[in-house]
Amino acid sequence: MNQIIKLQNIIKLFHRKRWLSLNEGEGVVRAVDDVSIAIGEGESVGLAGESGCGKTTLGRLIAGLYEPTGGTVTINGRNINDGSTQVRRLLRTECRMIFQNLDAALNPFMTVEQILDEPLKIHTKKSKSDRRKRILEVLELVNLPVAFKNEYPHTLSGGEKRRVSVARAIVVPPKILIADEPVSALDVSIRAQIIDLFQHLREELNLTMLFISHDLGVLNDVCDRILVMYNGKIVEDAPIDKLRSRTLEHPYSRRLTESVLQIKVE
Amino acid sequence: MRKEFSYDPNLEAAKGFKAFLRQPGSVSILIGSLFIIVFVAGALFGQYGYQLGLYPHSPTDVQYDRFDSPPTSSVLRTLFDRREEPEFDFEYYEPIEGHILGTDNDGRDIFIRVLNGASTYLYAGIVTVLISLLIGITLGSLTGYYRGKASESVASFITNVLDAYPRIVILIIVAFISHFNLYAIMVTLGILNATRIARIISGTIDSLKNTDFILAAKEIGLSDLTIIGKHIVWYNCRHLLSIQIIYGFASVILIEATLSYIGYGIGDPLVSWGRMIYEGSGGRYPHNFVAGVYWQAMPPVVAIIGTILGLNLLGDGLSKRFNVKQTDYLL
Repeated sequence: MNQIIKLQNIIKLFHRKRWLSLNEGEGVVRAVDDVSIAIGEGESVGLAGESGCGKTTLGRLIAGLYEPTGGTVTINGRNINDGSTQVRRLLRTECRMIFQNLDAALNPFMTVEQILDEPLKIHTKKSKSDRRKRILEVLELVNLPVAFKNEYPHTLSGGEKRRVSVARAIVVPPKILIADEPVSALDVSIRAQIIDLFQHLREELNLTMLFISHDLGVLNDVCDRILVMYNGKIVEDAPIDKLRSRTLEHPYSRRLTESVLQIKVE
Repeated sequence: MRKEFSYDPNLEAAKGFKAFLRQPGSVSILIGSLFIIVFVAGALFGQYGYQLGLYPHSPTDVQYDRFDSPPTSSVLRTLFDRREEPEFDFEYYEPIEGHILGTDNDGRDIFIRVLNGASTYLYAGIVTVLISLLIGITLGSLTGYYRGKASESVASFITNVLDAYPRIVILIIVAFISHFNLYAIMVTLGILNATRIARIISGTIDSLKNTDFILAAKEIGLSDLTIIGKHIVWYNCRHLLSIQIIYGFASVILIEATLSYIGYGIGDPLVSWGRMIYEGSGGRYPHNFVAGVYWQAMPPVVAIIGTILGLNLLGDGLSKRFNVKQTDYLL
């Protein structure tokens, strides 16, 4: 399989700025610590782990939003941090990210239509009426009423905001989708719809997905492979069958699978 | 409050003026713009009315011939003037036909001069606001977006230096050095007003630049310049900037009036409301005012009050209109 995303020895340090800090090393956080992974084209990979273990940082590194402190991120055989604007532009057209934070992910002063229009304006040469048509199509796809196109984000509920985020990510069909907790804060029926939507997109566009979530049930539905992250390191890289059969090897992954709640019918 | 349950499809049908009225701040915008339309129309009339032959007097025409004839009585005089015998030789004309609001001490028509003053302020206001927006947004973006880098320290140093002086003193000095040149006063005031805009922009950028929607905009592929211009300045600052733009415009009128009143205003071929008030309320001929020649000072005072009121209403309305987060409204 053609390896579309390749990370080699990625390290990302964050410097905690402290007022009058005397000790240099004290404020350094190793968010991602020597991570090497490869994701094939059309593959759907789940990234699980506890909060604060570096899942989101890893996703943002792949999306090119953060510069790694060490190591290289290669997408389609090209290092995205080599400073070339051409590679950047290609990355921006092919790679989309769904952000975790519901409230901050949408510009509070823009209507839903303006938000969805933005990627279309940059990455396509469609006329205004075509863009509007596409926006309505996508709104229908994520199951939002058409009238919502004139709404501002603060008038939407959490689930509706999340669906607008998803709509923004797919309004120009991407090749790589990094979904950062895309179904958290959604109720179960809509969660199923969104997961269906992802699976549908995957088949249709041969989408490569990195699905970041702490919800193993969702990963089980969507992914072919699961990565477990612990303390900035990838501790487990296994096919999804191992999650289903509960035969993950690392102690932390085992703890993770054991703590999944299940409905028992007696 | 949820839309799914309360969405009335008929509400969407409202278009044009009805939809405009439903938006917040629309009444203020309407009344404010009425004032401003009157101001702009007056400015145009004051500038071109004489040249186009719409009004018989020009703002700078000194009509010495009228000095030979004594003041003519008028309705105003019979109503308000309780003097029994005139003590002084008056060198002005009371409101009579031909001069709607009378003339000033030099025999110039007050009506056309007030309107001509509006054109001075319109021009000066627009230039000042543009200068302050240009400088303010540049400085603010540099300080906000590139915090911690060299450009930030230079830009914030400039902002702090500009803010450290009392503005009226700077303006008096500039007016004095430049021989009361309007351009010099405009540029100085524009630069001084820019610091407020810079602080607003840099503060907003600082609080927003690490939020997810700015990251999302980067991720979509927008450049830094577009992110600052579109997402931050246009969408997230415009409700604050509209007030600052209006404030900048009003400050031109108020500060110029203040400068003129203390004798440091713009020079003679240009008309200044502050100078008109100074002349009308005593000025070079204190006995006029003492003797009850109130109509010389009244028109510019009314013009200033009306313009500032209109500007404030407009700014208030625009700010409410743009601040969509504050008011939950249906389109």
